Amino acid sequence: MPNKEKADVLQGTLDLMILQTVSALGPLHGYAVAHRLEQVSNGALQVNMGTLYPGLLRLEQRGFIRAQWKRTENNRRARYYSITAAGRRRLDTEKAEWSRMASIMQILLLEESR
Amino acid sequence: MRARLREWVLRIRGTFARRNDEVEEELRFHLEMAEAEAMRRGASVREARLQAGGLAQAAEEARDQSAFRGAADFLRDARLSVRSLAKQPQFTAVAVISLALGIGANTAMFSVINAAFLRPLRYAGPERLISAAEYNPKLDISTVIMPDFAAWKLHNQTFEQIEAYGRTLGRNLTAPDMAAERVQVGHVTPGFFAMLGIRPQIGRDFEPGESVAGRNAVVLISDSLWRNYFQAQRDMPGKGIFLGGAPYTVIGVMPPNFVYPDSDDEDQAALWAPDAVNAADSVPSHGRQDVFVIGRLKPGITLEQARANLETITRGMDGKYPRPIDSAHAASSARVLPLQEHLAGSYRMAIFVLMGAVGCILLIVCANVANLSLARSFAREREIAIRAAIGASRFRVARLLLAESLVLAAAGGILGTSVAYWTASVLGFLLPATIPRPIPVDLRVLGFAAVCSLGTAVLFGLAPSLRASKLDLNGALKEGGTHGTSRRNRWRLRESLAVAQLALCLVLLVGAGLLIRTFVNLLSVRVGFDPQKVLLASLQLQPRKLYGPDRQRDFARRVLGAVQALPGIESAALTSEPPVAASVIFPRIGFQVEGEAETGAVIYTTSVTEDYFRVLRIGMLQGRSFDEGDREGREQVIVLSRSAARILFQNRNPEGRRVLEPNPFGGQRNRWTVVGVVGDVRHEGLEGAVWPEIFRPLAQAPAGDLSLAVRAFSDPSSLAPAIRKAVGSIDRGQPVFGVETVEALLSNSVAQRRQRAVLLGTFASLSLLVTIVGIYGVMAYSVTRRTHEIGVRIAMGARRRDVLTMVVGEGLVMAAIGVAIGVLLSLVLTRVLEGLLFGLGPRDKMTYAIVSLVLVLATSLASYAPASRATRTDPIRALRHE
Repeated sequence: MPNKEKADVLQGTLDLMILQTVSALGPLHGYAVAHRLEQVSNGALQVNMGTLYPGLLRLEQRGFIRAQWKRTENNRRARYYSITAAGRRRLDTEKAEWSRMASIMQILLLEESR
Repeated sequence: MRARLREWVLRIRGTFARRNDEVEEELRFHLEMAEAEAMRRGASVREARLQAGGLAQAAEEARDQSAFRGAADFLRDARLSVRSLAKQPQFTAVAVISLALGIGANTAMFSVINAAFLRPLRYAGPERLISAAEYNPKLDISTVIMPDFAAWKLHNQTFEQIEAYGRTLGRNLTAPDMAAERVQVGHVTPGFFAMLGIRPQIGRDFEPGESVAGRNAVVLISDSLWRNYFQAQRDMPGKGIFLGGAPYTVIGVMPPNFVYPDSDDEDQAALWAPDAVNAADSVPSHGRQDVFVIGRLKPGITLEQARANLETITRGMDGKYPRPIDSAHAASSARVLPLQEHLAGSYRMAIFVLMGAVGCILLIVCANVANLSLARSFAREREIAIRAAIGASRFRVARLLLAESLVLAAAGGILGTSVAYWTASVLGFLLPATIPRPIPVDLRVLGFAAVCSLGTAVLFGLAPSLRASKLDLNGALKEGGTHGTSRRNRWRLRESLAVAQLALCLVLLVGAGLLIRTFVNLLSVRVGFDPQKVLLASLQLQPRKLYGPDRQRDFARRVLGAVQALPGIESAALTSEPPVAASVIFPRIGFQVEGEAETGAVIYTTSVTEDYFRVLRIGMLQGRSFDEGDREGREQVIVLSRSAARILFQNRNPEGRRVLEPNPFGGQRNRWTVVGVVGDVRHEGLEGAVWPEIFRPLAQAPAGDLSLAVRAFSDPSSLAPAIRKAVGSIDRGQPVFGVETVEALLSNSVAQRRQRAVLLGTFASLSLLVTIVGIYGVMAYSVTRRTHEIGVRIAMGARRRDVLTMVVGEGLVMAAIGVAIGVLLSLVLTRVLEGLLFGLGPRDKMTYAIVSLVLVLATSLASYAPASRATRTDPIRALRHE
């Protein structure tokens, strides 16, 4: 089940990406998160709703982000997500873990092959 | 495991936190934003929508994340279970009904325990209310004498308030223009009701200091007395009444359902007077006044601190005043119990014994259903193997079977709880009167039922589930589940379950047997007279001051004359102590045969009229009875009971000898001549001892406490109104009370034992039934499974008897092991029954023998049916079975 595997790998990184986005830009609604991810990746990262919202919900359930219904500038109701203290701690450890992993991968993939 | 649990908790929270429409609203917002963005950029809206993904699908995925997915799976399992259980209605019915019995019995008993020990008492601040006493472990009695209580009240530092009450006492209640009534009067210290937080519904409570002589002629009356006797007059406070001839003023009416602490049903107080010290004329010259003490602890004070405090005070009083049993008192020490525990006191034992019994039933039921489900799961091996073979995980299979157990237990639990709901009220007799009825089935009881059902499901569902998850696929598929060869270890589990059932069942049967034999023993006690068609009625001449010996004699003569003249009466007599239902009286010490040494003989004295022995048909063993001539001024004569004669004269002939009456004040002693000897009579119900008794003619030894004994030609209870009327016509102020046939009294005196025996007997029979069904199930299953083997045996020439012996023999082996274990268990467990038995010990051999025999017989019966079916096995068909 290649699809499933890919999704699993993505899940971890997606969570991290959402956390980082929400943390950096403050309260954001789901669309803004997706939009932002698309923006920073220059369109390489297109997150559909079926991936994004379960991810948001997952993070919310684990207490890393919290959601609130608010009005947008155009006076539409939207759910705004902001990071919690626990989420911030989680983000820090995940970031550190990610850098560690990335440097290992760097060494493994690039330097070893030399 | 923990992380997993956390995940579930989070999911469940997610489910509650967000509803589906919220998810959809959020997603719709997302789509709209994406579309708007696309339009702004001039891109295709369709493209944007595609890119964002399907709304329904996303919603589903979000929901999947949020909803408790396990719950959905479980519901599916449960639906599957219901379907498969419905396919086997017999199995399902047996399982559900036996579970309902087990859970129902437990829930009902728990509701009793809940009412007795767990629900807060209906008094203010019940948790700090305690009962205090001086407990003497040697004599096993708890008493507080008045001076000790006074010292406690004065010197304690641990109680917010401490109050006392005395025993209730019978009094004649008379009021202007009203018929006299016999009532029980409670005596309390003035602050007693205030401490419990109970206020009169009309009028006022006692005031401090109202117990002092001169101010204490005030009473509070009970709601039922107010309604039934005083017709609920609103202006009750201030009314004057007479108790035992003395004037009292009613100051208030207590609220409905207020029951005096500690009182039995028959002597619940109808009025309360403000002191705890008023028993002077019922306990003659005993120089002691027992009270019961209830206190409210100061906040933060422990039971032990309070106890130590009271103990110190009591010890400080040693020697300052005499105590009743001074030598024994040294062994006494203060004892402090939570009030709730104290109130349930004497009922505790029976309640916990019965709870143990129903616990046993539940275990038996569990073993039974486990066995049935095991048999069923063997039969389903193929189905399960197929499920496993096409990819169901072990966990999945075990879960399916567990779901079945849960469905069964839930059905049993619901049925059982509704049974308990209706039976809880029947169990009221297990509780003291102080606990309000009906016994409530509250949330705690329902919670217990739920936990009970769940626990049961796990208990009986675990074995089949575990086994199924370890199933050997190859073997099961090949065998097809009809004739196992790997029978050995499966058998061991099923056999041990059956043996456990048998053992537990034996324990219950032994317990029930002991109680039933106790009851039978009681019934076969000889009361010493013919109780049939005899009616008793009591009178107490009050006020005592006005009724001296002459008036007592006169009253007795007139009452007897009036009653004897009534139609339907064969004979009538008066006695100062009724048989069977004696009040608390004290024996006299120091009767002495003239011319012989004083032996300290302890003998009761009873005054009777001439016909007494004839009315009760007490056998005359020697000499004569009293007659008309034994009047005042003539030679003083007595009749001895057999045991009194033995105490005074051993084997010598007492007739014509003289006996000296003890005189506590010294000086002249009365001389009595023995004219006859009669058989012994029981005075204190069936359990009480036989009193050695000296009978004197009422004319020569008049008494103010009288009982009429009337022998009727037919139904004696129909005479009651006529007797009341006859006595009332002689003296309106003397109410007749305690009108009861002797047979009813005897039956009441064993009522509690009968109820307990019946209840435990019912429990035991139920468990026997369940066990028989269980054994039958085991044997029937074993026979079916061995059709092939039995076919071979028959084909090889085994006779009908051989097969029968083989199968029944297996049943008997189980029975033997079960009985052996059960007997050992019973020997340990039934010791707790000791206090509930009469005339036999907890190790009564007869009971054990009978019960074991019953169980062995039941087992052989249960295995005979399957065995005889096995003998009819057609070898050809059995072999073709392959």
